[in-house]
Amino acid sequence: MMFPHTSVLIIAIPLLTAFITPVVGKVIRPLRNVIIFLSLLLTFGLVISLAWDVYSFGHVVYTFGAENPGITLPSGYSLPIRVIFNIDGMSVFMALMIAIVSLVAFVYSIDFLKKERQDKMDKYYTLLLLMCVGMYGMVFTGDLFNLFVFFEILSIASSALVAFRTSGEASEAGFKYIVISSIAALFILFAIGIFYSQYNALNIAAIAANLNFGVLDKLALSLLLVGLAMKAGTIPMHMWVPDAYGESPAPITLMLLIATQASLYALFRISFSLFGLHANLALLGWILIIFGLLSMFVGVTLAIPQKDIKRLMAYHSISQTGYMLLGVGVGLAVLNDPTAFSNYGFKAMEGGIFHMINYILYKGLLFLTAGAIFYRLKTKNLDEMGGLAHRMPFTTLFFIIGALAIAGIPPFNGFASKLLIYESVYAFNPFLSVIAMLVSVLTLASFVKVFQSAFMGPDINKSVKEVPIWMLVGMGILTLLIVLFSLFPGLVVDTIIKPAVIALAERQAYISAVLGGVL
Amino acid sequence: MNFVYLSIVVLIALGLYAVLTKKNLIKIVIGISIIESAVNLFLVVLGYVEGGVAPIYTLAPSEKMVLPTPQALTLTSIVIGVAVTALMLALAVNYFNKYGSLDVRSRRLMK
Amino acid sequence: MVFGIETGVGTWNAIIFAVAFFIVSIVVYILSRLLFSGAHKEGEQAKPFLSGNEEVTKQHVAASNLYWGFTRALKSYYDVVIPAHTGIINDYIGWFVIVLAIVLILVEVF
Repeated sequence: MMFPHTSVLIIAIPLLTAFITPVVGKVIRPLRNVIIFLSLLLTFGLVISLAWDVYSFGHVVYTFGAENPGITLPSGYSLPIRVIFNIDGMSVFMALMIAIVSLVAFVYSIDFLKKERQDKMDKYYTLLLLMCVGMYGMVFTGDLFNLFVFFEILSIASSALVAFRTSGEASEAGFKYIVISSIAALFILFAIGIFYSQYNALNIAAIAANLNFGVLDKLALSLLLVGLAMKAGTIPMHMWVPDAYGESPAPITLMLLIATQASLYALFRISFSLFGLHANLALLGWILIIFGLLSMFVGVTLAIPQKDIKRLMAYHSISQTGYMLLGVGVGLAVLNDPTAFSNYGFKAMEGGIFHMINYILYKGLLFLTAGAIFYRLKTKNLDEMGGLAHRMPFTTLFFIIGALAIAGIPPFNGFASKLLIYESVYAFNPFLSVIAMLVSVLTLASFVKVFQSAFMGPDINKSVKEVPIWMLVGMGILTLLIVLFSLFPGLVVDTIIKPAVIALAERQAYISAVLGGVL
Repeated sequence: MNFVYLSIVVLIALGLYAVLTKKNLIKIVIGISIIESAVNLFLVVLGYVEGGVAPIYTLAPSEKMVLPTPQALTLTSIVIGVAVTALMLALAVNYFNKYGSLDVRSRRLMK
Repeated sequence: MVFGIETGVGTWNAIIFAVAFFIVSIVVYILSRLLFSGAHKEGEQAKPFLSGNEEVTKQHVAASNLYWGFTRALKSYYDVVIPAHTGIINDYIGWFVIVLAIVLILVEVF
């Protein structure tokens, strides 16, 4: 083991930087950006080191407050009593995404928001770092109440950032977001209380080892499922998504994307690791598949008549989340059937989880290009845009790459993950695969609409120049990653995705990492 | 003991009624606050031991104490609730300043 | 396995696709130079045939009017779904309660 305290440092360094940023911003203004960049870079390095540990050893556990962080059970006890971080392949997969996205969001924010007052920017960077802390905590923790606390940190910080521009619409969107998050969190806390009353433990592995699927556990399962699905933006509880994604500044939309992915991660964690051994997995899988189908279809059909570019992209975001739910739902439904799982279930989950990182890259790039257009034109209405390809060549190129990737056009990475999903889901049930392909065609249709109306056509806005350099650097990093993922899908799938799928599918290994092989 | 659980269900129902039907932003915030109080009450009640005293060792009248973990969970939840309520009220104030009314129906983001 | 992924029933390799695409596009370009070399660029013969009518002047179609055919064809679907998006926060929580009730019944019954 290289350095046992990596996981705590990943939480502690952004947290410390978040609280010294306003102080540094008041005292030595130019140093603030440098300190934040260094701390994000250091966190990225620590995440890579943690990923190395996890890929070598399987699971990494960290017990808070024990003399040796690797020992989970105090002597003489059979239940873990401290807060334990249980880090497996899926957690470091999410952590890698969070690290990349937070760096890109910071780099983009330097130029995107440089016209704001600088003391307001101090608070912006503090909240951005707190969002990172909340997300890292959610994906690392192995304790249900700790999940709730980090979930609330994340939702408070992100709702304050959604309302960053203090216009009426932004405050309305922020209010709706915090009400939605609060209701979801309170019902999740109710479910956590139910678990505590039954098993006298809050650790996910400890509850999973002793679970019996009675009436109260079914109530807790539905509360957790629907609450986390609402935060992940599934139809029919999706209506906050266009409001929040549309009104927040573009780098915050990028962070919100990964925040909803963290809720999706929590949904997968409770489906596979908490309820994986004792629940009716076929039913749970089919519930996820139905959520996925509805999200895919309704999301994309509502995106076509939109006039506002960011709301259109937000509806596509709902639709892409449906792909992930479909892939992982098919894997969950056949998890207890070894032949079916090794034939197509494993590949379906691989497709769904590979789609998560592809989606973050190309959707993030598309939202950043929409932000670039907003920065120059001060409007988000597609009716008022035209002929931008003459004026903003780099933004056009990035948009083309992002739009081709999201539509699943070969050879981009969107096609690779969608191919995995299509072929595995076809073996499960052909109808689902047909709907998935239809949704992909409609996605291409709506992005052709955006491209035609915003970038092609006569040159309406004559005084528009290309965007400043740091915004181009931010978009360029994401484009470079898209191109790399398109050329080397095999490397990505073997290194990052396969350990994540194995970590979710091997439910007993998750429990044994904490309880030490004792059931 | 069933009386407490029944009152928790009634409180959650009242809070949900306020959030689902009231059109004033402040009433929605009050509804969420009621749901939060109900869930905190649920957490505290989980630790009850028949005949137990407060879980403090100094000058304890008897050895039988109620469970202390739910009390820690409730304290955390109350603090989170304060932060969330403060943020919601700040956003409602800004909503009122920009739109001129606290009515939910004067929203401009739809479809 | 670096460049290609294996789905359950086949493989996908982006490099081979890119090379094939490049070769096919070269072939298409050579064929287009050979076959379309006699086409007119200006004059009467270059105008599109619009049943004898004048060609419409190029104008910018605003984004709300693109895909009107699709929106019109699915009008019965859109007339149900779009008014459901009222933008009122009470309805957002209403959907949450409805889906919670459905999932509770499903999980209990099956």
